Amino acid sequence: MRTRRAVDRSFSVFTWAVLGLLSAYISLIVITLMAHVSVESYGDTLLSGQAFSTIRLSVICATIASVLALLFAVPIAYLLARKNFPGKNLVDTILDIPIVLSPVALGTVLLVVLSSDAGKLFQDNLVSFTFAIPGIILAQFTIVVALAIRSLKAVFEQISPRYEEVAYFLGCNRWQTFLGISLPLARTGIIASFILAWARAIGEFGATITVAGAVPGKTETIPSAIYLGLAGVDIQGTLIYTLLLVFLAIVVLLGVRFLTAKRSG
Amino acid sequence: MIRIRGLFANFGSFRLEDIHLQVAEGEHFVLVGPSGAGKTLLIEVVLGLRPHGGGEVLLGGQPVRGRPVDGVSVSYVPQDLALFPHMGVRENITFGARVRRIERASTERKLAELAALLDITDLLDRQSIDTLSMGEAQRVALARALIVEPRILFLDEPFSSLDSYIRRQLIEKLQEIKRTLSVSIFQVTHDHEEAFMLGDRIAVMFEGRIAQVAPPQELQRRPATLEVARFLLARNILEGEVAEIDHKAGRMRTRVDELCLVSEAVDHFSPGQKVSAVIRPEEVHIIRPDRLLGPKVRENLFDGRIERRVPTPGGYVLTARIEGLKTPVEIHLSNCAFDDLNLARRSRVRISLKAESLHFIPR
Repeated sequence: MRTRRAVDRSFSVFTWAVLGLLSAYISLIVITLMAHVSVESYGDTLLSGQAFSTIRLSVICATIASVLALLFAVPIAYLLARKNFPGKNLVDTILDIPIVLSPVALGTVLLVVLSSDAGKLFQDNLVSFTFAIPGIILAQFTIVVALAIRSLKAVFEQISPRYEEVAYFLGCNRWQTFLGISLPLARTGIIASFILAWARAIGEFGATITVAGAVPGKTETIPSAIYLGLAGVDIQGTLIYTLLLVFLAIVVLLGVRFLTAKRSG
Repeated sequence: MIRIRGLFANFGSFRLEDIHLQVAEGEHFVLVGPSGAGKTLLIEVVLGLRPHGGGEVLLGGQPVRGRPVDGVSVSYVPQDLALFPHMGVRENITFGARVRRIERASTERKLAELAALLDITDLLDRQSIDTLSMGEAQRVALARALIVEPRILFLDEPFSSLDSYIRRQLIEKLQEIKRTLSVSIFQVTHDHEEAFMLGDRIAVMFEGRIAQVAPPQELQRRPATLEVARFLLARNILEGEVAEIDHKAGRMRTRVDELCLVSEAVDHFSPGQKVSAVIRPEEVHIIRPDRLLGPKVRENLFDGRIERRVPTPGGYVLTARIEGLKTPVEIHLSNCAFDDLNLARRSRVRISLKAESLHFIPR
């Protein structure tokens, strides 16, 4: 009869083996990616003015979209975490639609809205979105705001309402309670949520290319540069942009891990 | 200061029912009951943190309708204390004063006074509340609640997570606070020792209902129901029947098994009425064989035998069998009294159930 210790050891071996297998698989993808890029190509692509403009546009748009998303997501997530009201489930479901729809479908819907009479009026008189930089921001915002609401709702739900109740009795009004207690307590969660939103926004392709197109030097972001590079059989350029996204993903995910570990620690 | 009339509130399958309470200015009112009695729900309804279905709740004269009232200075120390984790000790304590824009010099003076009163002066410069022990955190939470000089202080199980030594220290601190500051206190606890040491009046609550409201001594000597008596550890409950009442002489005889207990007459009782006779273990006396008997002890003096003795931190818990009584009685003795009586297991003793210590509850 096998001892319990031997069975326990087999479980340990199994979990480590699964972890090793998947880590090796993903590492293999990244290493293969790096191996296929020649050293000269890094310089050729990254030092070109167009690449700089693409990276700059991607970073700026993702940052603006993420900040805007958080401006909406923080109060909405707080409200959903703290209050019960009639139709809450319906509102919650509506806010989840951007997560469920595929990005291209969402981009198509946005285009239809922007092409409507009201949309045209708005674009003619205020901000033009179609095939323009605000279109990138709008597409990225629409994709990431729902994600930000989801993650922030979980953050606020983890904070005991007792803190706010005590603060209220100590003399805070609702604004002071929110700004002085709830927001500082959710600080690391909000930063983590921003980083995740930013990472999702910078990698966004489907909705962005549908609404804003991919005009080189004008509305070309890193994901659309990858797409265009592949379409133009510029494999080296495509791989370099992909590596750039991998690098950004690693930085961002490590940042989130660090912040969440700090919060729980 | 607090007035509750005919309060009803539904919380799923649990409900608060027909609650009537009144807390006077400067009074320390303690709500005691077992876990799950609805004590915290009641405190939350009174604070306006939960809605109620019916009845009236007035806090400082203002009606509470499911939201905290404005204009009445109230402080609240919840069971988990809710010290703000993103602030140090000093910032936590002075938070209320800063929000209320109380003058800095006045806040600092008040902080120094409270810190001295609660023995937390050494803790003020701690930058994180994570380094505080539970007892220290409790005192910091009390200081934070008191610095805004509330008219009413609500305390929800403030000492529940402390060991008995620290709890006793903090109970003494709270007694000192009561003497020093003029604040009404509404406190919830499941610990009747804490309730008796602190409360000017005590309400006992079971399953969403108030069973009795009374000062500590009255509650201890005259529990209104058997549930209250059992909760307050009146361990000796003897079932019997009123045999005779002499209202003129003010005496009553109650038959319990083969015994006849003599006691003070109860006005609304009549012969033949089924009653429960309640006597606390501390009130049951073992009489030394050589002791001269006074008139108070001569009544209700019975022969018995010690069946069991269990040491406790303060003395002994004895179980004795009285001849003619089916139910054994519990007796609490101090170490000193136990040594003096030189009691062994199976010792024959004389046991006194003094008339004035007996309390009767109709069945």
